[in-house]
Amino acid sequence: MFLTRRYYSVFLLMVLAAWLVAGCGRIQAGQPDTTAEINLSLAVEPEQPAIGPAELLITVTDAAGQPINNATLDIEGNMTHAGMVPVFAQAEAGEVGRYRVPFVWTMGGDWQVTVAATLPDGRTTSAQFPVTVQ
Amino acid sequence: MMSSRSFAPADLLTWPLIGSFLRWRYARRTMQAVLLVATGFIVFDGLLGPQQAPKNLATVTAWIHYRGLVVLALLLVGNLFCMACPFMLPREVGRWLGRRLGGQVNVPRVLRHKWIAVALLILFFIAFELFNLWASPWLTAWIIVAYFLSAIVIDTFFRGAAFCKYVCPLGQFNFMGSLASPTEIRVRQTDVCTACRTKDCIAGNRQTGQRGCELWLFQPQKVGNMDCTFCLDCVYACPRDNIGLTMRLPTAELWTDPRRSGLGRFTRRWDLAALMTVLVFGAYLNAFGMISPVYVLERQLMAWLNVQTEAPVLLLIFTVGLLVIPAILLTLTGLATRWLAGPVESVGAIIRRFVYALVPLGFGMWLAHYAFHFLTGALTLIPVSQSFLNDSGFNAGEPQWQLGPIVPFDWLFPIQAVLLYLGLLGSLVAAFQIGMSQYRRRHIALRAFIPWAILLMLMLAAALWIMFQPMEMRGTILLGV
Repeated sequence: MFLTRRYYSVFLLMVLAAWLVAGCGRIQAGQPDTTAEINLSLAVEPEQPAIGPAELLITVTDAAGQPINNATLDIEGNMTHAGMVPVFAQAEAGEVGRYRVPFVWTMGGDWQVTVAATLPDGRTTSAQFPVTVQ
Repeated sequence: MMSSRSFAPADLLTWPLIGSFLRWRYARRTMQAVLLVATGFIVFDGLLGPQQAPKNLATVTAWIHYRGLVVLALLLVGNLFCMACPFMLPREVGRWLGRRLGGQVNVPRVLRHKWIAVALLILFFIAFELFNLWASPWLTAWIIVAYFLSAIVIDTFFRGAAFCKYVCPLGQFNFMGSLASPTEIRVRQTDVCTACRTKDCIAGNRQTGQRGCELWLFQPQKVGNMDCTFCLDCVYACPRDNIGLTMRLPTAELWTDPRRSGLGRFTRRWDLAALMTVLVFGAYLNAFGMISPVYVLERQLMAWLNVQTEAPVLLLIFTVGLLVIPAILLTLTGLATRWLAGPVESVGAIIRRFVYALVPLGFGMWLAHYAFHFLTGALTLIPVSQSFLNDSGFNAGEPQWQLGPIVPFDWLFPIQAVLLYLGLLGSLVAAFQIGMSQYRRRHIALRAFIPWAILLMLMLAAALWIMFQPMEMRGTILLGV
């Protein structure tokens, strides 16, 4: 019984220590980016997304609605179910604040498209857009 | 069943390495400890990590790996998850609390059944769809926490493994699946038990302090895997080393209806029949919820019911799918059996006898569904773990997000079909053997078998249709509402 109690005590202490170590690291890593007053919007072509190739039309504007060109956009599409490989894309040039990005919907269902923008002056922002693929 | 023991089937406890490890008294505790630590990180990431299901340990491990590995273990070995269940360690806290609070009581006789577990399973199936649990790391983590708390609370107040036997929905699923497993914990030599007076396997071993079976399965009278958590307490308690983990013919325990220790006869228990029915038809509903036609059906039902929320629609679908359709199908099949084989017993008794024949196919359906997720997403654990470690301050390298499937996509449907056909084979054999066991004469057994064979073929067709549909990974923006 003594061995069993000691076993549990050591084990619980190890679990607690592991959580604390992981927790401290994650709190630091989870600091949000500085978000500038930048507006991101997403449109999809074709308008009714289907499995296969597509294009994302992303518009980047400032707080006054003026288009922002030459931002770097990192796009990541994730399904809402675990176990699916994400789809990545990138865009660097834009015309009148509009960025056209080739993309592939690999499965039907619900997606979340995350657009992370880095402006030429170093400011960053990101936004998530839900998309349902038939 | 007794005669088969003279063949001395392979006993995993006598195998090198595996046998040595399992026979070690702290083997189970060690496995539980490993899973408990893993569960701690999973809960942690679920609550505080990225809230995207494909990038969070909680959703990836719970809905891809846990489910996939559990059914594979049940198919290939046995009830290994219950053996290593991490919820059992905190249960010891409940026992300690129970002693401090003035002792535990036996589960009241009125609660000694599976109805609570049946209700919890139905609630879980509905909640899974209603709250899109697969899409929410946060909710997934809270379900795990709730599970821990439930196990602690119940085992604080009640003796034995009350949570495992009467409450745990995961355990009931494992019990069902283990009916088709190729291994069983059972007595090696019956004559050794005949001479035994101390009955340590159930009463506990006073010499070593090892407790006996907490699910009230007395080894000499135990038949099959129902209610057996593979905890090995009986193995450790037996002073004559007379209990093994032996190979057996999968599903054979379904063919006859002996009195089973801790359970009685299957055919006298509606609660067990209901549990099997919910788990078999639940397999269909759970898979149906992931394919395209469910979108259409839900839209039509919302229009028909004139509602804007999903809850009433899901309630209707699950009422029909888990209660109405099974009741109609089982009653019609039971009536046909009675008509063809003669009025030997009531339709209710026929249903309680033959419903177990559906178990292999139902389990095959769970296998086919979970295999899809596991085979398409098993390797996602690598980048998700890398991401978790990186976020936690360690350097695990650039997450390899391109990793995912472990088989080519073209293989998926053939694999699923093979699993379903295996299930059908097991079910057809079980149905015929149940008929032989009850009606004795082959031609009458064949008549009794025909309606169940037709039902099984229809269920196989439904399963193949579901698996042939394009899988949709539905989520939080269902129906656009």
